[in-house]
Amino acid sequence: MKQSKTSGLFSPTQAELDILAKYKKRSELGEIWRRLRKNKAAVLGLVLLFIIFMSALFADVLYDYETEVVLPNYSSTLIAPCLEHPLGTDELGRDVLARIVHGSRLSLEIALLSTAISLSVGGIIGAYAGYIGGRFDSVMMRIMDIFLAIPNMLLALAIVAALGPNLMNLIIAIAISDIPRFARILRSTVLSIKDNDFVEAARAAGAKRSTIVFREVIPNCLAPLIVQASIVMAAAIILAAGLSFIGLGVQPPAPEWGAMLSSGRAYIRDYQYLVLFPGLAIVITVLAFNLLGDGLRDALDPRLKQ
Amino acid sequence: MYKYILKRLLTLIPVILGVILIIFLIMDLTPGDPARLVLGNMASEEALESFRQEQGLNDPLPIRYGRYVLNICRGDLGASYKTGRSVLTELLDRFPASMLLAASSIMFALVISVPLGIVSAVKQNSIFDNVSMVVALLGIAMPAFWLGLIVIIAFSLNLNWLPSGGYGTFKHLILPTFTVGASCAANIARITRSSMLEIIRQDYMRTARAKGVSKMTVILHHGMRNCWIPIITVAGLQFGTLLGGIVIIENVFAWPGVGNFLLTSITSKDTPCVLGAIVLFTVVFSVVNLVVDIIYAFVDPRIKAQYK
Repeated sequence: MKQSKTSGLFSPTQAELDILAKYKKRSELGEIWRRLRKNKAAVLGLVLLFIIFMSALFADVLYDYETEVVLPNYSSTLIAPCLEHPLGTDELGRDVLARIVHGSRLSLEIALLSTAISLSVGGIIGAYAGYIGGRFDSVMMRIMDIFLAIPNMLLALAIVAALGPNLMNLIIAIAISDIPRFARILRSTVLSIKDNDFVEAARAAGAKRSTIVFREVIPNCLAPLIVQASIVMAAAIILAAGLSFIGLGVQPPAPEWGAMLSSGRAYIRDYQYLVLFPGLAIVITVLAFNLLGDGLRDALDPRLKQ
Repeated sequence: MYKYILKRLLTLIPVILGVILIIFLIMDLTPGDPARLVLGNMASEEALESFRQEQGLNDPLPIRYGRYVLNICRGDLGASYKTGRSVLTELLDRFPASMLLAASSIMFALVISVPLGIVSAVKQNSIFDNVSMVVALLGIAMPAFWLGLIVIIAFSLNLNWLPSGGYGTFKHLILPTFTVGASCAANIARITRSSMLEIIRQDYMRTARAKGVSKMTVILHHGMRNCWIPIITVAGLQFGTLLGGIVIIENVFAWPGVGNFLLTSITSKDTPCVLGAIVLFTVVFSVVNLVVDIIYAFVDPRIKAQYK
């Protein structure tokens, strides 16, 4: 590899390579990363997210799902936080910390999957609507407007109520309710870039419409999409917890944070830690996504920063 | 101006028809036989079939949708599968409670957040600014139903100051209002601060100060006039989130509103009630959006000029 790089007509000298390396350091991604690193709040968000992702990844190593997370243990019910159970045990004797750690898996799974679906579907709708324009654009945007007229929670509620409460339906419901937001954002970004020279060049070179949209237009609209994605993920976690809290999301005995709050609610008078800790887990995770989202927005578009 | 309002009211119609169509399509996916649900497992096949005929359940979807919309125009949202009562009556019984909670929450949010945002902007990077923005960040990250449980623990169970649920007196309103309004307040405070920060740096603000107007007057008079548009926009958007949040909060505080009714209807698979409640909430949200657009004109003469 190395040989082929330095051989041929334009073999660069060491000095040139140094300049190249220096330039590379200042590449766009590096610049964004440098700005993000300067933002203390964003770094805090990143660190928190790293911890949450790690606990989700190694949940099985830390606590066995079958025996510690879902299996009732009637000899140790409702033990207040102590050394053996740092966050106490629930009404069925299961360790609250173990359930919260495994719950992070569910929350992240819901947030990532639903956002991935809504981002791809909404993104494609928005990109095509913005690029093609005309009647297709107005029809698609009117449909999106109608979806936006229904509050997120109510749309998700209707979908889960109709399809039945389970993990997959919850993800679908949240994804559908977020599609219009991505479509709107991508459309407006596409409108602002579609007359640029590089799009014109691709068109002049005879590229197909789908090639232009996927290879030229969408990659240049990623910045606002990424920012929106981190905010939507935070909202998805709250929405999922809310639906599980009222019994329309993930069903027990799965350790979903909202479902844990729902069952802990019955013991609110005497065992308040049962509603305290799962809620804190939600707050910390959502906060982490929001901090990262704010930081990314400032890093990707320094003009926005006050 | 009136022409604009009329035009906006007319554009509301296709949106509401579309919303009803979407919710109608979604609810149509509900598995199970409504006839069986109403008449019970013991009902004969003939009875079931005659119920289906009577209710028009065998008709194709477009016809059922058309009939539903026509009935709505006549003020008929169908009858509850469970109680047989008119859905509209059921909803109207509970609507005032929900609207009371929604209105008091958004008022609470505005009263708290706007001054907070302004002071934070004026005293940028002070301790006050930092503390209130951290609180606002937490307020946004906090799910309302969890905050509801926490305030119940603090103010009802531990301090015994306020009731943990129910409806009727001012005391009953305090905790639900705080719970629903908190995240709206956090969002509005953030947007107020950032808009005010931008406005403070404008030339006209400096000119007014140079002319000898006191700092307070400049902020409240010249500044606020230009700050209302983003605040109202976010408050309008937050109202949608608030309506969604109310559904759960009514459940937490045993508040006898449309949200609580919606949840019990979902549990008992009472589709006409679910459909009616969601349509009602969405119509309210659409009307609020319209009102927000009209308020723009009162706040900003430049927008009013465009409306003519």
